[in-house]
Amino acid sequence: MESFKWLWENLSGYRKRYVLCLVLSVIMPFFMLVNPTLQRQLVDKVLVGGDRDLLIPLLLIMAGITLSRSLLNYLSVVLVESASLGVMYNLRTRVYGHLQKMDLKFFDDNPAGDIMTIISSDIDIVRHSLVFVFRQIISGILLFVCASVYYFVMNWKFAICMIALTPLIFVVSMIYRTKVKTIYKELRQRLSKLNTVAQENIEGNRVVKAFAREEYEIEKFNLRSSAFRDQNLHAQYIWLKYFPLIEGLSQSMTITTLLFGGIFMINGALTPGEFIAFNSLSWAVTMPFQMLGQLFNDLQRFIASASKIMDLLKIEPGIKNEPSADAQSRVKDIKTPGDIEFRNVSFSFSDVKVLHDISFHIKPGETYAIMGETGSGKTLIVNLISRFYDAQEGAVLVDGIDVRQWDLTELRRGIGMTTQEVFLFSDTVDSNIAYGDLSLSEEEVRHFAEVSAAHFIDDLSHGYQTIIGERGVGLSGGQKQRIALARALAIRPRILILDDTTSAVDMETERYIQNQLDQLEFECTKIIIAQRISAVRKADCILLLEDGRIVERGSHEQLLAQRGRYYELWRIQTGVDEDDKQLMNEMGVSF
Amino acid sequence: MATPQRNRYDIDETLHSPFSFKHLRRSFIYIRKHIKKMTKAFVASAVASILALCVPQLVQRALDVSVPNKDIGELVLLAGLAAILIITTILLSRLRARTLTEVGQDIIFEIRNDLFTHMQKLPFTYYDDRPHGKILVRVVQYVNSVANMLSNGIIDFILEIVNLIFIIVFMLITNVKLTLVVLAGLPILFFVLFTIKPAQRRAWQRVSNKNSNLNAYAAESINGMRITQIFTRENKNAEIFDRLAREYRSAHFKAGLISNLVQPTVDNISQIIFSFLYLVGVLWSYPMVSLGVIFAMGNYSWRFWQPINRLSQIYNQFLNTIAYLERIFETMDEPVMIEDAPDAYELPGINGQVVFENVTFGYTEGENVLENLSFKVEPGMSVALVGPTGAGKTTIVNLLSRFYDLKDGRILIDGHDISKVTLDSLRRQMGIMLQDSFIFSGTIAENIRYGRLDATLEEMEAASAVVHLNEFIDKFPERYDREIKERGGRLSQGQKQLLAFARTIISDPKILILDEATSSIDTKTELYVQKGINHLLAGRTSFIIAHRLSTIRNCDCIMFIKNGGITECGTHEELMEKKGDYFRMYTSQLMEL
Repeated sequence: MESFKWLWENLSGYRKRYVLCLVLSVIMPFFMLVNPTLQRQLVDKVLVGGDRDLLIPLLLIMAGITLSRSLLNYLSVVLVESASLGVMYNLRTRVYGHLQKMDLKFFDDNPAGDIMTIISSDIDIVRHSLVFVFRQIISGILLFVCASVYYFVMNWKFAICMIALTPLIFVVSMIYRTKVKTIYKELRQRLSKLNTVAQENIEGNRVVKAFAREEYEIEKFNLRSSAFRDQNLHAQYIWLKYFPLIEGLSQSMTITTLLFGGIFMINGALTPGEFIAFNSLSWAVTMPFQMLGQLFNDLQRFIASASKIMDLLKIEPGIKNEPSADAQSRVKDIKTPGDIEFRNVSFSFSDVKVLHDISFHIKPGETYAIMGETGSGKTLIVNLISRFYDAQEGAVLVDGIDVRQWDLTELRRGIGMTTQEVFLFSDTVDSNIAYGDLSLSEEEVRHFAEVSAAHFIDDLSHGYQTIIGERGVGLSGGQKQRIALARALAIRPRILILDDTTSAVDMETERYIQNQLDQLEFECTKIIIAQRISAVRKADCILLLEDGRIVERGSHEQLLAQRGRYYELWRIQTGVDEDDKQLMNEMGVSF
Repeated sequence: MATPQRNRYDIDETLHSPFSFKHLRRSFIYIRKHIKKMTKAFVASAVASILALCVPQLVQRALDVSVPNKDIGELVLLAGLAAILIITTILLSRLRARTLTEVGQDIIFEIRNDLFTHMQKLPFTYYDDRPHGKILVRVVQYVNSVANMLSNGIIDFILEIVNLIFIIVFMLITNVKLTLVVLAGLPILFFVLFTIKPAQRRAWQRVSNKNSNLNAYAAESINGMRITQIFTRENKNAEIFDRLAREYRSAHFKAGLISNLVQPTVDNISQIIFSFLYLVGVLWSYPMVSLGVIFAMGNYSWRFWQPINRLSQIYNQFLNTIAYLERIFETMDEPVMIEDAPDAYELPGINGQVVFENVTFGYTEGENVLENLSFKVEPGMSVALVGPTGAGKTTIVNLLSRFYDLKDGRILIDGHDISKVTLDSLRRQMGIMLQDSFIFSGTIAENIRYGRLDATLEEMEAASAVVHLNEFIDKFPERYDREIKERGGRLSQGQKQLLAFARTIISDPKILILDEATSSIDTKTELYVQKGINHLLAGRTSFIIAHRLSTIRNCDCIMFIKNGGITECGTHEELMEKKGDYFRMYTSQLMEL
């Protein structure tokens, strides 16, 4: 029931159209009743009665009725198409808009294939339900009621004989309904899994080829594909079990007509015209029941899909604006733009503590670097600054204001960030760089690309207008990183976060980028996450992370002097041996 | 020079082939396998159809004979007969439905299988050149859409035709003149159908295009949501999606307007025919034909136009489906750029000698990335490829795994030309670690075993120990059965690389290719990994692309790649002596430290 209420809410804007269409669906059966009546007149008066003058007027009226019926029918199709497509559009944009608000945890938990099933398939099923299912249910019920009334008015005794068995059909159908309830939910689930396995294969196509795992993939896919097929068959088998009973009961009316109709006529209780009218209308009583099974199947399918969409829309984003967050006033309040402070921040994923009591304070314009082992929590720290997660303990302050008090959009607008795993969109290079600021001119895009050492763009087949593949495929790791850097710089952020941004570029390019970053034309606080000493040595302060704790902090020189972990890293990375020392001495580098 | 651009979410993929029944004929390849079952279903249906037609005959008999004779006994007999006919019809329909569902499901299973199998052979470029959402929608949604048409649609089509023939025969038996009246409506209908057909086809193609665009954009949005949020582009993206959704809505609406013309046409023609029937029957023939005959003909005329009505619906569905079918077959026809030569042989167990002979290669027609490249690497040697980004290092290793074919020259492994051996035997002996370490959803074990399906737990443990991943794995109570989310979910980039590394190691390759394999791994872990792979490298040829000095200088041979060729080649010491590109790079890096 909930799904129907929900559907009604989503019909907003199209309700009038849909209701009008339903009204038409209600009127239509009456139209269908008119012609058989006229046909009865035709038989009784023209054929039997021999009144040929009535023939042509009657036929003209019948033709006129058919014409207006089909015009109304077309009108109702237009109405229902526009209403159902409107609902589809509403739902799609709602779901899409909702997804934009979801936090990272949501996307960790929900496979993309599952979300795609909602957008591509579930919403379409809702549309289909509006076009066919509900209309048919309503017109079916009305058709049955009207035909029955008509029967009763014409000849109630005969009508009782005709309709006597219908309650039985209803009972059988209800039993069937309970059997088939879960089937479609499962079918929906299997479709989603099929989607997921196909999607992963497409995205991982390079790995599949690298390991020559094509056959394994085909096997994996076929497993899902056949599970989907089997469930489809299963649903059909259950339906076929009930089909003979439902179909038999509804067809039994033909026999009733023949037997009782014949007897009634012999007894003179029924005229041949009435008999023909009954007979030609028997479909109006039978059809709603014959469609019952299919309608139940479609209804279950609708409920399964609608509940998936509803569930999705019900999920509240874990990260959202506090009621007190007010963008306008905050921006005016800022006294220290670009200031970042962590106060005793601790963070856990489910029950595993990932950050322990992190505190540091970056003043506007400073450059901080974070180093540490894989999985030590470096990326998490910067994710807390942009408030992709909320810390369980302590506070993160940006510009002197707790991030939870910020308007999310305002907060993030001031932060330019590159991610470790570079994600580029399958769009032109130009649009990718201007992703965060659409107003950028071509010259500005070029400028930021040059700051990011992305000179290679000019050599691409269509220069800045080259469309790059999804996720940036076709570009080398270093090229992707540089475009991502340009994208982050292009919004002229107060805070620039570079997460492993130069790991795949060569050292010369890295040095060039560093020099460029030192002379940006806008004031900006920088946080650099990197593994290479070369990338962090110039920072005002380097934080060394181990298992979610800051174990060393200080400038390059201070840390080297400490002869601790950082020094160890430096020694390993340079791999400095006697020859190198000599070489460096020759070059005048003090050691 | 204009190289074709990649496809984007807002660009319709135009289909160049004109409409042809070739696609339909092609689907018969799938149908043919089930011809036995189809025949069974067909016979059942045909019989059911005949039996169903007998029922009005019984009613007519009752009306014309039993009632005037007041013969209740005969009425009961007729009713009993009708009951038997109806029950038999139902059982036959059930048989048909069952058989056809099975056939239909099998057919789409097979189409999907063929499509997917073909996709596995397609080159990178196919996947690189269009949004992934557009490919996905073909495999799942489009195949589902054609299911009904290829199973029920085609069968219904034949059955309705047969049904029609039977009805015509019955009508002819009843009254020839009146039958001709009923048939007179057909030419009008055909005229209407063929007039709107081209517009209808175009309209449905547009729907499929818009659907594909929308899906592509949605799929990419989901994957790139984090970037969108970082750059607070939510509103702009919602705008774009809104536009795509609107485009879809209007395309679908227009297609609906055209398609829905068919039904009223059929309705009106059938009504006109019915009128004619009575006019002819009453004005010209009555009382030569009995009341029962006119009644029966009226009934038949209704029964005649019903299949026509259904046929026109099938026809509509057919035009709709063909838009999808065309896309599916188009993908199946997508050329397989890299495939086994006709006389390809299994590459025997190799030692790992690699020779490039005058290799020339470019991704596009006009420009070459590598020009006349030649080198020789002896078995067991480790080779570092260094040089500026975009110089062609990744290209070299891609060519070695034959991800692309050469424009000119040869690549030999142990003297075997790699274009002459089977792809499978070639790639199975190579371990390739890509820049993008794609992790599948599933358990850690499944991901490591991707390298070798029959690897034991001990072997997995050994491999993870080499890459220093064992501590991480041991943190989870489920250890190797720990579920990993899509694309590695919450793993850090470094952990993903290590996992991908373990996956490569376990495949026990003779030639190992590491393309920036450790760029995101921290120094200490890398040191462990280095130690681990050092003994692993013994006896294996390896190609390493890296920027880190420590990784590079330990290699047996360092090649400096620049401008599509090797400018320097030798050991670290030799190249330092030379004081060329490598020296410059190395010292400049030392300066940095």
